[in-house]
Amino acid sequence: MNRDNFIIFFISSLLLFCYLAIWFYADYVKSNLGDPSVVTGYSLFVVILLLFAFNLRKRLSFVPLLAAKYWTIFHIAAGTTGLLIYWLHTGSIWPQGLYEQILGLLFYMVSFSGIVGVLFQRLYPKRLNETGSEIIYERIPDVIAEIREKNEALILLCTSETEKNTLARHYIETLDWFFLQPRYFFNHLWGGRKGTSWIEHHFTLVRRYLSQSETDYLDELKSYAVKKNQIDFHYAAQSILKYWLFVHIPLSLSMFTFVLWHLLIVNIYAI
Amino acid sequence: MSVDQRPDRYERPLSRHLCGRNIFWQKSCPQGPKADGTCGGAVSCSPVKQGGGYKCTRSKSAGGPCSQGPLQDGGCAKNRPPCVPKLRIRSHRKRLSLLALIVALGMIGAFSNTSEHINPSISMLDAGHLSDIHTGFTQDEGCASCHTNHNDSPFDWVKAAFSKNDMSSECLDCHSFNEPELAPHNFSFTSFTPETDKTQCVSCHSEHKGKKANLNVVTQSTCSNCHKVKFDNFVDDHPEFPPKYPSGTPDSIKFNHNQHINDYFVEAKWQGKKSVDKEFSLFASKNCTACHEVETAARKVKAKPYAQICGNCHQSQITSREFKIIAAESFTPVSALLLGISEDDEDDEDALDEHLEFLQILAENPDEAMLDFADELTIAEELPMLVKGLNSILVKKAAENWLNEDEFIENDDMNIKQYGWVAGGDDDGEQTLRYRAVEHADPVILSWIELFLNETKLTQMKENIEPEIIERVRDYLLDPQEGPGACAKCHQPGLVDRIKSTEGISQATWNYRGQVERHFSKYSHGIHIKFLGPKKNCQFCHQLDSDSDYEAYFDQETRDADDFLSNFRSISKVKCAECHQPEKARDDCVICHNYHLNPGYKEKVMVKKE
Repeated sequence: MNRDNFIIFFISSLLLFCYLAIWFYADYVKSNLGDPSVVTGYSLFVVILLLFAFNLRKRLSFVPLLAAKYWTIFHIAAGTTGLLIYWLHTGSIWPQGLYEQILGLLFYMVSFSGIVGVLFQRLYPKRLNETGSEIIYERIPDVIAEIREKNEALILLCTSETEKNTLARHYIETLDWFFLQPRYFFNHLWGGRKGTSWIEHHFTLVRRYLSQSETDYLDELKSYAVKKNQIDFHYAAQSILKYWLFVHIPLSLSMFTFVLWHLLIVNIYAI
Repeated sequence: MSVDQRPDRYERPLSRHLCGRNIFWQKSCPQGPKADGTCGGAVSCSPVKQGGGYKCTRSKSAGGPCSQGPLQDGGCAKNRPPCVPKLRIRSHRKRLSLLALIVALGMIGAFSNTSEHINPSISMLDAGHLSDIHTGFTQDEGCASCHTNHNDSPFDWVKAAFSKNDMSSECLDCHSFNEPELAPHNFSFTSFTPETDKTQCVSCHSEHKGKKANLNVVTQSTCSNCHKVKFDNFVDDHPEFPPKYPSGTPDSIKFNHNQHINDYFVEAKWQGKKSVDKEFSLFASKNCTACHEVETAARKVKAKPYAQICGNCHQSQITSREFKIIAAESFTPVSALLLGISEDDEDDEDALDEHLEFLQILAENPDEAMLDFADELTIAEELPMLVKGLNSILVKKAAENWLNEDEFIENDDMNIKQYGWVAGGDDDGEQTLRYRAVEHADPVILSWIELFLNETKLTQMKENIEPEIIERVRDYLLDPQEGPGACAKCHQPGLVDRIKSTEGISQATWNYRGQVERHFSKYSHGIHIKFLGPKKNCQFCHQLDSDSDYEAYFDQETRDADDFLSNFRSISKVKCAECHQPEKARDDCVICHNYHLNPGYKEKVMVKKE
């Protein structure tokens, strides 16, 4: 067992142990005529605080508090534990009462978005790595612009060298659309090959009308198109890895607000 | 990757803005947006003063110093239109998170009004709809009916959050139970010490689970919180019922089922008697419903009224047992009491003289004489009932005759016969003044017996009369064989219990007491009869035990309830287990057992607010 697997095993076992301990302790409290929901409720609150600590860890990146990947593992395992404790706490899938239903809905939405995020993180980084290239998300517009500049310089050179405008016309009328901005966003996310097909189709289409000297320029242009297609995938994959947090984090904050409200209300009204 | 990623360019991940040209997928300028979010790339550099002029400071990555150089005023010569920088994803996310926070706080603030005019179901204080049964009781005060902090100020709320709520006391504001109300089972156990001496209502009942929620549903696991003996099902885990269950204690009326069903109702010896209703006897010998009210059966299956069942055969016994008050030539227990003569004095000459004097007084003025005796015995209050219907002329005439040593013979011309009072020769040929019961529960006989069961009255009497004399009257009244009205023939157990009891009239004396109270268990004959159907009659559970010596207990001088044997075999749990098992009928604890003792409501619930 390598170090990573050991840590996954350790964290999962620790949280499973904690969950079982909470379960047994709640049962013990219940069997002593106590209120088990106090035990499960405060345990859930602690888990939620630990889940929020993940965000804190990201802000304090300069502090040597284990590698981020271990925090991610802990975050995922604690999230799962939180969901189990939630069911233990409410004793049902869907609570009664408006604010508890809102809290329940937010909890489920945060959990669901978290699960979706985990799936994204399991899928896209691996596929990005398979492209063999790295690119910073914020620089993608710059890189696309640079490719476009290089293409345009190449087309001008081709036109002046070969004194033919077939390739230039094809670029202006067809290829320019592809290089203008990222294309086939959703197709890239699903793992489709529409971008590659588009390149193959439009470069093969024009090749029969080009002379030998123009074909060399076409090949170089195609290599830029292939790179652009890779960048399009980077853009799509990195976008989804960033934008799912637009759901997860705001919902988490709302949920936390309602958690604090719930804590306050039960202490005022019931316990 | 061979595409130039401009590794020389420094990324500013914490800056809030990106170059606006990126929106249109154009190259961003090297300078990037300013810290205030405005465009920083309208000029290529910020020339610095050097000597008498200015020097271009364009970075090497941007192409180094430009050929035009700075303008004369020190401005950059390479101007271009400024862009509108855009927010980074991180900043958008922050804004959205802040918005979500504001929306959440807004919802809480907007819908947390504690006013009773606000619909509770759209309140951020609503923990779930109340059960139907509590909804009505909380209409006036709303949440404050149970949650005293509800209408408090925010400052008090904060204080309340750090202090303990006693929800049980709120429940007990309306609900009442046996004291101590919060003790387990609302009962002070003496045979053992429970693990806890105080329970909370919310340990078993929880509200806000919806309109249709049944607050009384308590699972076996709830019971097992205290009852540590493992209980999974009735068949395997319930203890066997106690011996002689459920009729282990004698009732207040003696009735030998065995003898009636197998002897009195069927044997020719009894059926040949004139006083016996043969049709009834035949029916009763085969049908419990001849005597028991099945239509109203609950836990107890009450016997029908005397007139419908016992009276069919026993009426003549009641009316034939006379109550001898005064005899012409001897002492009755009552006359001995009036004269204060004990049994040993009966042959005494002085006593006989007193007796003659007594008859003299009666012959002269019986009304006054009775009042004098009543005063002496401190029973003046009870006197009208004790001599109800007695005509003083009858007493006077009888006494006069007896003083003259004549027999008194009543005839219709005298027109003095009243109610059940009779004077003259009795069945033994003795001249007596006596009372013959007119009906079951005859008021005169009843008054005499009640008087001699009243310990307070007896104590007062004992101040003037010797206790043995009083005991003699009581023994006469309670004699099963000779007693007047034959009351003690059937009612003797209840009457004797009444004498022994320190609680006085709270004990059942005359009526069926029924089975002993079992506070923590419940049973309904009605529903069982309904489910078992007509094919299974009473004998399905209640089987006569012909070997049982029912009479033995009653024949004892000093009765011990432990010696009592009913006419029925003990019901075994096997009988119940025929149905009460998984897949057939419920077999959980609360189907037969109650937790609470004497559950009720307090005045607050019953009295309508003005």
